[in-house]
This record gives sequence, structure tokens and C-alpha cells, in this order.
Amino acid sequence: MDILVEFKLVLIPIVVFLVVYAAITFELVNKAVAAMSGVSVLVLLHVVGEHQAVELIDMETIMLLTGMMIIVSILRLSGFFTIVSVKIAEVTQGSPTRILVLFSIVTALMSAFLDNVTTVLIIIPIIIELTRGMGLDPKKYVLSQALISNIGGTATLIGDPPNIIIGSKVGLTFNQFMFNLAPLVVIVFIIILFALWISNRDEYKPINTNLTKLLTVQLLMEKIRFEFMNIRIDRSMMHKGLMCLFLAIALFMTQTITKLAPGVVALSVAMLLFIISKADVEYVLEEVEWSTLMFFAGLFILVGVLEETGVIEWIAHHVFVKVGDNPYIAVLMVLWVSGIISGFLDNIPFTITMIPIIHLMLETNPIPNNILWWALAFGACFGGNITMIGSSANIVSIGIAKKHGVNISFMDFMKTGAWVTFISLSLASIYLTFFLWMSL
Amino acid sequence: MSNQDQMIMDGLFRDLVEVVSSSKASLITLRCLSEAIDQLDCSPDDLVTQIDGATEVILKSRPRMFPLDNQIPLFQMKLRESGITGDGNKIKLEAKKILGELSNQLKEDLLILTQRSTEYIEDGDIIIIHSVEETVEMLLPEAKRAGKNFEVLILKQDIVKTRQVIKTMDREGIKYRIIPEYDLVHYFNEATKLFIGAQAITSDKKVVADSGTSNIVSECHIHKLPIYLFALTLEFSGKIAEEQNIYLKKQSDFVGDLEFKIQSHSHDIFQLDLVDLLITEKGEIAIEQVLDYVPLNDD
Repeated sequence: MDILVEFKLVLIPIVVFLVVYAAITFELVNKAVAAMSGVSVLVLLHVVGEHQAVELIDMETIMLLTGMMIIVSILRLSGFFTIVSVKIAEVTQGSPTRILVLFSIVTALMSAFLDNVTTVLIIIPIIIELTRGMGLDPKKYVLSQALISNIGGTATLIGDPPNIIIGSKVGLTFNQFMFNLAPLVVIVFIIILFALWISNRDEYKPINTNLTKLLTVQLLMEKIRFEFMNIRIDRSMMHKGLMCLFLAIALFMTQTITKLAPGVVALSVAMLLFIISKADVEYVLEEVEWSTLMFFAGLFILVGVLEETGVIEWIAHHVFVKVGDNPYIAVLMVLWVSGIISGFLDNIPFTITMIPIIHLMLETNPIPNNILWWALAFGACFGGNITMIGSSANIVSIGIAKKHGVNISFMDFMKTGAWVTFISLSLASIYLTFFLWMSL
Repeated sequence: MSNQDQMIMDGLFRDLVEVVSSSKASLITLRCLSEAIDQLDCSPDDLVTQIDGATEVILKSRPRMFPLDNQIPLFQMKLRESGITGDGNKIKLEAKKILGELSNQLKEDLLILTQRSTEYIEDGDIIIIHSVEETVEMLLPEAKRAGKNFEVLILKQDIVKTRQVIKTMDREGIKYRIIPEYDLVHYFNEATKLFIGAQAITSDKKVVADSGTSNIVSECHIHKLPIYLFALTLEFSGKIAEEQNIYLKKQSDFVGDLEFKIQSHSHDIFQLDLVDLLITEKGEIAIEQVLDYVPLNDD
């Protein structure tokens, strides 16, 4: 009887979790369907009760994601992102180096304060249009923006899903993320951008010595203006959307004073924006990525069940805690293991799985100043750059490129992504080691 | 100049004339060429070669772009006649000055054409249009501002072009109805005129116009609906229709699960004598007199 109970309580959640993980990794079914199917199996087999399952969902994360998705949707509806894209295109004046640098700066900033997928959805089509129209190879530019979006997203609590999860589940503030992650992200951004430029410097030669190319660029700008500016611009909605975005960021930054959790802030500001902008609620809600929210909710339940059954504790003790008491080894191991695994598996379930493991690691080896959490954040976010399946932004970028006739293979991506990740993780190793040395 | 440069430029021109008239596309190109010359960084000797290279690409465009195809040789001729050599800045200034003059001349011609053309709209007219041409951009808005009471029937064809026409009508507050092009036969009892523009009027007395124009003109001709063609004399070509470099596009398309290859031409060609009235900035021109007005006649 005991064996049967143990089978039901331990083995079933492990098998379900592994099957769901495999289904997500190999894209056998939609990610949200995979996660929720796993939850259904656990509830149907009475491994977990339905009310208990709901309690395992981290509502803070779901609220933060929902709120930010609504704010971004309303901003997109207002035409704000179109204006930004066209303005950058104009400022570049067709200079290949300026295209790389300016688009990268905007991509990094947008990824840090909005979300990566929205950023690449906006940036990639216009960069393809611009570079192809100039007779340049769009592939390098698409790759660079996908990679930069993952680097930029690492800087803040709201920039990348792993950070949102870590922030909400661990209770770290927006400012803690900014002050601890952003300085390294800025350094990584500059070095990677320079490396991307130097590795293809022939591609980025100036065009102002060729009149035909200059004429082409001028005509291209006209075409882009016509095509992209032909959409409806709602300035009133745009101003209100931007005001609410800044309000949300200000409230994130003053979290220690207001005591308002980021999820509460994001959702409240989103509702305020709905009221003041009079945006079409039905339309905006259709733009919210409900499947992503379902995916998060499902994973929280699956990992929560594993945690309750002691499986997570077992992994923590037998894999991570076994490395010993040396804090440097623990930090670097979390960083590199997270980085490499996130390159090949979805970093969202990986982060959700790692959170209880790191809690257990901290119980046996209390590393100060949240350094282990920063190692997880750097690893999960930077690691997403190794392969084209490493992050949602990569998958979306490759998809848009393909739709525009630019084919980027798995190996094409990895040839650049692997060394970009290696440099990023190496810089993170130096930064975290120094940080730890200062903290001990 | 490489084949790739030519292909890119051709594609840009074709995209541009999808959303603006050929006259506006020419104005844009003249302005772009002027700005490009301003930004160019090269030796004075190389400057002339570069200008020749860029203008050659424009002249070889598929299809030929009018009025540009007449303006560029004028630009080349005036620049040569200026006799400036050796000083890059002076050559640049002269080139920009000539481009500015050509641009102003074109604007003036368009203004005169617009003013002349409003006479051809009467109160109660129901005018058929289908594409983004000078008539849509300038004539109809001008007639509306002049207080003429008319209605427009927009023939829905290519969605990009139709969208642009609708946007202009909305912006100018012109009353309109949209009908599918294939439905035109049901409207001949109420439509009073067909207004069209031209990409070029060729030396063999044919009209190169936006895709779909030929069908509409033929149908209107059969139903004896007056056809008004508004064009600048700068759009008169010294070359025959076959030499207008009309582009044949081949692409994949699909309907449901059926994928197929489709090919289409960038522009239509039809006989000029199907047109009832040819109105230019110089007034009404009889079909047989067209050759007299060609700005740069090859013969």
C-alpha cells in the first residue's frame, strides 16, 4: 500500500513533469497545452486537489505579466512603436554601422522596460526592410537584434520572464534588479555590440562614397515612411500609454517606499490606462498572450507539486549541494548550468524549477547579497542566446525573418549565439566572482 | 552600377508608384537625388562619374518612370552645359540647383494641369476612378475646394492602391462609394465620366497606365462613357510602348491549400484613341498632335 501511495505521490509527478518538459522542448504540442495537460493529469489522478493546484500559482507573476502585456498592447495600438521605428530608420540615414548601433540601443532599452517579444516584433520587420532595400544581408542584423533583446531584457525585473519569475517568487525589488544586473548588462551590451560589429566589419562599411546607394537609401526612407506611417496614429492614446508606462516604472522603483508589489502596480496601472485611454477593451484583451499566462500557471503547479513531494529537495541535495560549501563554485555552477541549459531548453520552466533548488542551496550555504539569484538571472537570460530555441524572442525573430524570406538556420544562429553567450557568461562570471569576493 | 543596384532601384520605384502618382514619385526622386548628392563624399573627378552612374540607373528603371525619364536627360544636359569641373562643391551646388529647378517646373506644370482640369468636373458628376494618380491627388481635392458637387465611384482593385485612394478621399472630404471593378457594368446608367492618369504616353500613341486601367477603359469605351485622360506633357515619351521596360513579375500565390505561380505586368498598355479627351498643362491636345509635344523626341 505504501509503495502504491509513494508511486502516486512521487513517481507520477516526476513522469508527468518529464513528459511535459519533453513536449515543450521538442514542440510536440503548444507549450500552454502541454503544461495544462500535465496539471489535468495530476488533478485527475488525485495527486493534487484542484484548490491546492490553484494555490500553487504565483499570482504575483501572472498579474505582472498581464498588466505589462495590456500596457504594451495599448501602446502598440496607439502607433507609438511604429513612430519609434520610422524615426530610428530616418536617423540612421542608411549608414550600416548606425543601423546596427541605433537599432541595438533601442532594442536593448525596449527589451529592458517592455518585453523582448514585443520588441523584436516591432524592430525585426523594419530592420529587414531597411537592410534588404539597401542591398545588405538582413540576416546579420536580425541575429544581432535577437541577441541584443535577450541581453537588454536581463537588466530589469520586467525585462525577461526569468527575471519576472525570480522577482515575484523571491521578493526581489525592481531596484535590486536594476542596481545589481544593469551595470553588467551595459558592459555586456557594449562589448557584444563591438564584437558583432568587428566580426562583420566589411558589412558595415559606410555608403556615403556611392551615390547610387545613397539615392537608394533616400528612396527607401520615403517608402518606409509611406508604408509604416500609413497606420492610424492615436496621439492621445499614445501620451496616456506612455504616461502610464512611466508611472508603472516609477512605482516599481519606489517599491520599498510604497510597499506595492510589481504585479499589483502593473495590473492597477493597466486598468487605469484602460479607463483613461478608452481603448477597445475586447481588442486589447485579444492581444494579451493568454497562452503564455496559461503556460506560466501550469508550470507553477507542476513544479509546486514536485516541491511538495520532495523531488526538488532531492535534486538540490544530490546535484547542486553536492558541489560543496565553496560559494564561488556554487555561484559559477548556477550561472553556467543555467546558461547552458537555457540555451537548449525553455528558460521559463527551467527558472521555475531552479527557484526552490536555490532556496535549498541557500539554506545549507547562505551566500550573501542575493548573488545566487543574480547568477540564476544572468544564466537564464544570457543563456537564451546560445540557440534559436533558447528564448521566445529568438523564435519570434527567426519566424518573422522567415516570413520576409530571410532564412536563418539553427547552425546560423548558433555560430553567432554560442560565442555571444560565452562572452556574456564569462563577463558575468568575473562580475559575480568580484561581487562575491566583496561580499564575503 | 551593379545588377543588384538596378534591381533594388526598380523595386523601390514600383513600390512608390503603388502609393503615389508617377508625378509625385518623380518629385520625390528628384529631391532624394539632390539629398544624396549633398551627402556624397568623393573626389570632384569621381563626382561626375557617380552622377552619371546614378542617373543611368534611373533611366534604365523597369518600367520607365515619367516625368523622370524626360527630366533626367534634361538634368544631365544642363549640368554638362554649366561647364563646371574640378571643384566638387561647385558641381554639387549646380547639380542641386538644376534638380531644384526641374522640381519646381514639375510642380508648376502640375498646378496648371490641376487648375485646367477642374473645368472638366460639373455639379452632379459621378466620376469613376481606380488608382492613385494625379487626378486623385490633386484634381478631385481641388474641385472639392472649388465647391463642385460631385461623387466618386472607386473601383476596388489592388488593395494597397484602393486603400490609398480611400484615404485621400476621406482626408479631402470627398463623397465616394467603393465598388468591385468587376461590378462596374451595373453603374453605367449613373456614372458620367471616367478619370484616369498615365505613367507614359508613348510615341506609337499608346498609354502606359496602372494595372487594371486597360480593362476599365475598354469597358467604358464600349458603354460610351466619356474617358478623360489627365497627363503632363513631361509624361509623353519619345519611345514606343514596347520600349517602356514594363516589368513582368512572377510570384507564388495560394488559395486555401492550393499553391500556384502567378505572373503579372507592372503596368497596362492600351490605345490612346480609346480616350475621349487628353488634357495636359498645355490644354486639350488632339491625339494626332501628341508627338509634337514630346519633350525629348528621339527622332
